[in-house]
Amino acid sequence: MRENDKDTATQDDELKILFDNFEPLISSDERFIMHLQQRLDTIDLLHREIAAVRRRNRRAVGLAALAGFVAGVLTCLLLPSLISFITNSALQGPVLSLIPSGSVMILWLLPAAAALSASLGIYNLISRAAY
Amino acid sequence: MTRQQFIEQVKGTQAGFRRFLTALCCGDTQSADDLAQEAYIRAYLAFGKGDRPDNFKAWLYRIGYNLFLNCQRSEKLSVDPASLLGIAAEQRADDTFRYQHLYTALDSLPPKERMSVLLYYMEGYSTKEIAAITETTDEAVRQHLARGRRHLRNLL
Repeated sequence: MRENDKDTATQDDELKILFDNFEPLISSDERFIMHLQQRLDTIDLLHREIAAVRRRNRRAVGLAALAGFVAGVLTCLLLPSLISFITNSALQGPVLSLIPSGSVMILWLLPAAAALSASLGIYNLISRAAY
Repeated sequence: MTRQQFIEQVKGTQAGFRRFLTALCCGDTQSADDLAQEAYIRAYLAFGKGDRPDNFKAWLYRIGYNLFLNCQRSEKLSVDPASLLGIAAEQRADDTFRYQHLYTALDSLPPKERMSVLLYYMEGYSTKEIAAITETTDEAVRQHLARGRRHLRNLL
C-alpha cells in the first residue's frame, strides 16, 4: 500500500508540474475584454429599452384604468336622466323596441360599455403616441 | 455589483479561466474563448437578477463547465480560423504541436474526468470544491481523479 501511495504522490507531482508549465497561446487579454465589453454594452442597452417599454406600458394602463373609471362613474350618474329622457320622448318607441320587454335594466350595461370603450381608447392612443 | 466591479472581476479571472477552458477544449482556443465569453455574459445576467455567489471564481467555472457540456451535446465546438484571433497560423500550429500529446491525452478522457483532473491539478481545487463545482459527490470526484490519473499515466 505504501508503494502505491508513493506512486500516486509521484504521479500527482508530475501532473502538477505538467499543468503548471501549460501556457497555451491565446488571444490578447485586451482583445478578449474589448469584445466582452461590446456584448455587455448591447445587454445594457436592451435592459434600458425593456425598462422604458415597461414604464410606458404601466403609464398607459394606469391612465386607461382611470379613464374607464371616470367614464363608468359619469355614465352611472347620467343614466337615470338618460332613461327618463328616452321614456318621455319620441325615441321611446324605437329604443324600447330594441330592448326585450321588461329589461330596461339592460341599459345599466351602458356604464360598463362606456368604461371599457374609454379604457381601450385611451390605451390605444397612448400606445401609439409612444411609438 | 456595478458594471465596473464586474469588469474588475473579469480582468482578475479571465487569463486563468481561458487557459483552463483551452485545456478543457483540448487546444481549441476559439471554442475556449467563445465559452469564456458566454460564461461571463451569463454571470453578468445573473448578477443583474440579484445572484450573489460566495465564490465568484468557482461559480464561473461551474457555468463554464455546464456550457462546455451543452456544447459537447450539441457538437457546437467550432474550428478556429486563426486569423480571427489575430494569431498567425504558424504560431498556432506550433503551439498545438507543442501540447499535442497533452491534448490527445485529455481528449481521451470523458468530460467529468477531464474536468476533475484539470480543476485539481491545474487550478488546485480540493475534491470537496470540485464536487461543489461539478455538482456531484466528493467520492465521485475521487473516482474521476483516480481514473483520470490512470488514463493520463498510460498516455503521457
